[in-house]
Amino acid sequence: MTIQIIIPKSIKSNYTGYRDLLNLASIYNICTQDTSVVLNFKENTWFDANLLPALYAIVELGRQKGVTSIYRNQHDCTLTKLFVRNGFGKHCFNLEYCPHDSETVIPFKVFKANDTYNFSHYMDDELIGYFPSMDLAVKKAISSYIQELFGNAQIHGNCAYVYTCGQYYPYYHKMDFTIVNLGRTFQENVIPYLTEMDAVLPDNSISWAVQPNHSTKRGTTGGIGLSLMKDFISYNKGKFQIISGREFWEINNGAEGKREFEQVFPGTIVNIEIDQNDTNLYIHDVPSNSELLF
Amino acid sequence: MIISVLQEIGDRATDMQQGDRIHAKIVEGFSENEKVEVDFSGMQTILSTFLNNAIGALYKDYDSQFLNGNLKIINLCQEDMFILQRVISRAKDFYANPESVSDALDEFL
Repeated sequence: MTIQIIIPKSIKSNYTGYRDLLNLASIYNICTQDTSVVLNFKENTWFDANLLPALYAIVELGRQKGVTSIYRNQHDCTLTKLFVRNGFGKHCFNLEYCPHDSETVIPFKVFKANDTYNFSHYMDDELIGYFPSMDLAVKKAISSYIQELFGNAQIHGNCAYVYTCGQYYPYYHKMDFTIVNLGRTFQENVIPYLTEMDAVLPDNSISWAVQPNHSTKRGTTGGIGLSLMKDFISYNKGKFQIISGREFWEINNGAEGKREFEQVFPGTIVNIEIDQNDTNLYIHDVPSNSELLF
Repeated sequence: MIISVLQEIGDRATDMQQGDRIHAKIVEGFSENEKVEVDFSGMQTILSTFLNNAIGALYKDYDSQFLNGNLKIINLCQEDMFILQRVISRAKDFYANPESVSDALDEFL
């Protein structure tokens, strides 16, 4: 059986864009083995490049149960050119890979979830250059916050692979970067943990998890990585969004919001947007007396 | 006893297992009644997930007084020291009052 899906006109990193991606995931969810899905992008005029890992995850979900995905679009359109330039087209639809010395593309990658070492190098090689003008040590610190997000996929998601991609938008001086996995959702981790702890259950698991010192790790400490990123994005006036299962949480230009979707994403999408125009001076305040550190 | 993190695990401390290895080395030093220095020189990346297991987990078996007298952290930059302090603060609470976890979680709501 072949089904055709018309990709909406615009897919952006906002609630509506994620909702459209989750609707797509729900169609794949009901596809049976040997179904061919034609993804028709002819009416699509904008697709945030950083969201391509989410599209890849949906296609991969289909692939795992024998569903074939076919890309349909004009051969020389902007989107196709992007797909062949950032490596997504090769990974997802077996299009020819034509890397380009572009100053705006952060390549699409598939990492093993435990490959924190190579992800760390990818951060240094591809991402750190798009951070705001600041001391290199502070850039490295922000890089480490993103690496914590990557590490969470294995620790909490218990997934095999992590998909990443980014894009620098020079007109807006913003860099978007997205990390996606098909592992356990926030809700699947938080609710059993809090139930076990006999604690009150939150209405949004992600909102609970981004609080300092909140972690679902057993027998060891955690709960630092997400809150550090949240703090930085608040100062930066950027965007930090997490979509997991039916839940949506974001901090956007300092305002925190949470919502639910009708459909489910069978994993987690983490998107960060960093404002390159940030002129804050970031200084980590540490006491000088290291003799009594402990 | 000096433990070079770079020599033990390479220049990127990015996961819990690496933390476990450094933790074991520190405990080994303590068990031989040695004062231990953990040297972070040459490190490119140090994540809290690593520090939780390498340093934070020490509070399971040792108190602040013992650690201040027997463990020294050297060549850790200010940004990483900031993370380490959060790790230490969290570990002190976690290992001192494990029974109060539920109350702390409810405070959020």
